[in-house]
Amino acid sequence: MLVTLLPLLAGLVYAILNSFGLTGILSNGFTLGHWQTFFGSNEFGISFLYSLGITGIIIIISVVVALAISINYTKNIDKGKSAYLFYIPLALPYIVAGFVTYQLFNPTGLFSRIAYFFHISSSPETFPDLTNDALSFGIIITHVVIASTFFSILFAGIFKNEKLIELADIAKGLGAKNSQVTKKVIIPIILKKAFPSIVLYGIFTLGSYEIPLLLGRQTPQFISVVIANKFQRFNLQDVPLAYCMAIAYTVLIVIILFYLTKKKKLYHENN
Amino acid sequence: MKIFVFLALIIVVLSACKNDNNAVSVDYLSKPWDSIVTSASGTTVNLTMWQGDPYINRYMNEYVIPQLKLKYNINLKIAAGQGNEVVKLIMNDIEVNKKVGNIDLMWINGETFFQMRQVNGLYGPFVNKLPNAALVDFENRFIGIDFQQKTDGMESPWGNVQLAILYDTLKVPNPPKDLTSLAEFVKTHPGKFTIPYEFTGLTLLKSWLITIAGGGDALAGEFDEKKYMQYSTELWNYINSIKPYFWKQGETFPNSLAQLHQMFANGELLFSMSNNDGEVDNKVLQGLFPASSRAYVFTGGTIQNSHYMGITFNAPNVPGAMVVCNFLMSPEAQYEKMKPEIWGDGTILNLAKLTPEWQLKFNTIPTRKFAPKRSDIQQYALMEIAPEYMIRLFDDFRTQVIEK
Amino acid sequence: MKTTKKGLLFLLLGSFVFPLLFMAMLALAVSWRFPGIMPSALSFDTIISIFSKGNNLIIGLTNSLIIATSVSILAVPAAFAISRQISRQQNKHMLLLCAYLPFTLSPVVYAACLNYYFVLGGLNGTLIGVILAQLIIVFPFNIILFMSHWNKQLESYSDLVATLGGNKQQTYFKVIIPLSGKILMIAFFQSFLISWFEFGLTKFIGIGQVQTLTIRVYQYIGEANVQLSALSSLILILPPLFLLWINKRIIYHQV
Repeated sequence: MLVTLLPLLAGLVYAILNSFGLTGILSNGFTLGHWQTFFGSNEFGISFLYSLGITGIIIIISVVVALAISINYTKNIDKGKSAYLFYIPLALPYIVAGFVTYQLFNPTGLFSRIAYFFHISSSPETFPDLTNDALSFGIIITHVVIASTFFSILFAGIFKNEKLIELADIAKGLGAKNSQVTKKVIIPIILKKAFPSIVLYGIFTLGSYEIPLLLGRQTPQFISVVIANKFQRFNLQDVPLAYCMAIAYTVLIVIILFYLTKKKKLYHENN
Repeated sequence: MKIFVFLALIIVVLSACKNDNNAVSVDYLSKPWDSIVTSASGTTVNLTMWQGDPYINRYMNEYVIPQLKLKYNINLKIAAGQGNEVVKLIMNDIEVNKKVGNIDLMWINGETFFQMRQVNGLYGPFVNKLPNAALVDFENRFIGIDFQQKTDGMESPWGNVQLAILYDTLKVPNPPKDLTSLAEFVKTHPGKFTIPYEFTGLTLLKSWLITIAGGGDALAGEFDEKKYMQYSTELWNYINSIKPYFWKQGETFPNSLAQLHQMFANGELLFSMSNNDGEVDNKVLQGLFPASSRAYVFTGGTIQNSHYMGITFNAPNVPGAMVVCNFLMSPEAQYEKMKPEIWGDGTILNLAKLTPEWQLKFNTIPTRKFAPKRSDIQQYALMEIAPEYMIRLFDDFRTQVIEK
Repeated sequence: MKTTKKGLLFLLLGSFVFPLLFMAMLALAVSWRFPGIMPSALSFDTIISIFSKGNNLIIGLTNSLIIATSVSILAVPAAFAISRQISRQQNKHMLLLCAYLPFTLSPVVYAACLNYYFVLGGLNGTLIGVILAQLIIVFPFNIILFMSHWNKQLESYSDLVATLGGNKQQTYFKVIIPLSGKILMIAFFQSFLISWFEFGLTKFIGIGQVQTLTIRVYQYIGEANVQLSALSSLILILPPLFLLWINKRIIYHQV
C-alpha cells in the first residue's frame, strides 16, 4: 500500500510541520500559535458540520430516489435506448454541473424567465432564491441529480447480479406481498451490497469543492472551499492555518471511516 | 507493485537530477542590452498570467506572441495562473532551494508584488536595463509606486487602470456619485446592489475607506492600526446600515466578478464594477453588456493602479524575460493594447517622451465609446494604500459584514 | 399506472438530455438576456474562435488524452494485481481502509500538501508530474473497485489450475483475466474518466503549464463569458459521453 499511503503520509507530515511553524519560508520556528488560532475559532467546526449535514441530506435523498428508480425501471437502466441516457449525468464534471444549475436556477436563469413569461413571477426578485441560497438548494439539487443516477445504475446492477427478481419471485411464492418483498428483501440486500460505494460517494461529496464554490454562500461554506480559500489568501500568514484545517479534516474523516468499517465491512465478497 | 514503486522512484530521481541546478549564473544586469537581446534570440520564455479575459488573451496570442517571434525570435509560452498561485509556487521553490524554476515571467499587481517582496521571490532590479524604461512615466506616482512601495526596478510597468462602476443608462439615468446618494439609491432599489467578495470588491472597499478617511493621501504611507480601526469601523457601519437592501438582503455576496457581470447583464443587479475603467467597452463589444452600459467613478475617488511584469528569482531565461518586458513597454505594444477594441488598457508611457509621430498616434487613438475619458476621471484617482489594509479589509469584511 | 410510470421515465430521461440541449443553446446564443426565453440571435462565432490561432484547445485535448490514457494503463493492472494480494491478507480491512484515505482530502487540499515534494522532485509543471499526481487518486480507487471482485469462486478456480499443475502466469492469463474482463473494462473507463475530469491536482502540480481540457473549462467559466463556457463544457463532456456509450455496450454485450 506504499503507493497510496506514502504520498498521503508525506503530505500530512509536511502539513503538520507547517502547522507548527517548522517548515515554510515565512515561519519563525516552532509555534503553537496556528493551532491556538484554529481551536480559538469555530470556523472549522461550523463548516465541517454544515458540510456533513448537507452531504447527509444529499446521500439520503439520492439513495431514496435511486431505490425508487432502480426498482421501478430496472429494465430501462439495463437495456434499450433509455439505458444510454441514464449515463449522461455521469459524464458531467462537477464544474459543468454547477454551471448548468446556475444558468437554469439563478434569478435571471431559464426557469425564472419561463416563470416570468407565464406571469408566475413579475421580476427576477419574485422568483424563489435557488442559487447561493440559505437552504443550499442549488448545491443539493446538483449533487442529487448526479448521485441518484450513479446510485440507480449501481443498484440496478446489484438487482441483476444478485438475481433479486428470482429472489422476489420466491418470496412472493411463499406468500409475501409486493411491498413486503421490496421492503424486507430487495432494499436491504441492495443497501448492504452498495454500502461501500455509498460511503465512498459520501466522502467524495463531503470534500466537494466546485459545486459549493459556484452555488454556495460565504457562510457557512463547504470545508474544501474554506481550506482552499485559506491557501489562496492574500495573507500568507494564513497558510499554516489552512494546513491545520486540512489535518483536522483528515483526522475526522479517518475516525468516521474507522467507525463505519467497524460496524460494516467496506466491501463484499461476491459469493 | 514493487516494479511500480520502483518505476515511480526512478522517475522522481531522474527528474530530480535533471533539475539539479546547473544554473549558469550569468550576471545579466551588468551586460550591455545588445548582448542580452542576442542571448534571448531563439529561446523560450514562460509567462504565467491571469487569463480570465478573452480580449486580453487575444491581444497576447494574436499580437504579442507573433511580434516577439518576428522581432526577437523569442517563443513566448503563456500558462494560466493568478498572482497568489504563483507566489505559493515560488515559495515552494525557495523552500526546496530550486535554483532553476519553471516560470520566467509573471503578471503582477500590488498585492502579489507585496507578497513576492516578502519572500524575496523576484529578480532584479532589472527595469533600468530596459531601453524602453526611459519612456515610462515613473514620475507618475500611480506608476512608480505600487501599494505604497517603491517599485525599485523590481517590476516593469505594463498598464494602468482605475476602478470604475458600471451601470445601464436606460435603467439608471442618474447613478449615485457619492456614498450618501448611494445609500439612498440602494434603499430605494432593494436587491440591486452588491459588492463582490474578491479582488475588485476589495478595491472598492479600499476606495471607500480612503474616502471616509478624508480622501486623497489620508491613508498614505505605512499601515496605521489606529487609523484603520477608526475608519474601518465607520466603513462597516455604513455598509451594514444599507446591507439589508443589498442583493439577497446582504446575507451573501458573489464570489467572482464573472458572476457580478452576469447578474448585471441580466438586470438582476443595476451595477457592476471593474478594475479596468475601459472594460465596459470590451464587454459591450462582446455582446455581454447592453449597449446602453456606461462606466463612471465616485466623486470621492476610486483607486487607480498599475499592473506590472516581474521576473522570478529563479527564472531559467532572464535575458528572454527582459526582452519581453521591454517589448511590452514599447510604444507599438502599448498603443495596440490601448485600443478599445483590443483591450482598452491605459498606457504607462510618458507621452511627452515619445516621438511626435507616436504622440500623434496616442492622442488620436480611437476613443472609448462607453467608458469615461481618462482625463475626466484622473482627478478622482486615489493611490493604492499599504497592502496590510487590504489583508485586514478582506478578513474584517467577513467578520464585520458577512457574518453580522 | 403504466402510463404514469412511462411518463415519469420520460420526464426523468428528459431531465438528463435537457442540460445538454440547454448548453448547446447557450453556446450559440448572442446577448441572451433576461427575460428572453429564447435567444434573440444565434452565432457560430464562438465555435470558430475556439479553433482560431493561439487557442490551445487542441493542446489541451491532446494533453488530456495522454494523461488519462497513461493514468488508466498504469493504475488498472497494478491495482488489479495488488488488490488480489490484499484480498488474501489477514488484515485486509486495515489495508482497504488505507485505500480509502486518499479520498478523505479533497484533491485541491491534497495537492497543496503534496506540492512541496513535487517541486523537490522537479516534477511540477510536467506531464509526468501530473500523471503521477493523478495516480495517487486513481490507483486506490481501483483497489477499492477490485476488492469486491475477488471472491472464493475465483480463488478456487485459480487453486484448481495450480493443483492441476498450472503455473502463475497460466493461472493469471488463462483463468483470472478472462474471468475479470468486465470489471477490468469498467476500471479502465472509470480511471480514464476520473483523470479526464481531474482538476485540483492537475492545477496545482501542472502549475498552469500542463493545460488539460478541464483546466481550460475552468478558465472559461471564470470569465464572464457564458457562451464560451457552455461551448467548452460541451467539448469536455462529449468524449466521456461517447466512452460511456461504448462502455455500456461492451458491458452489457458481455453479460
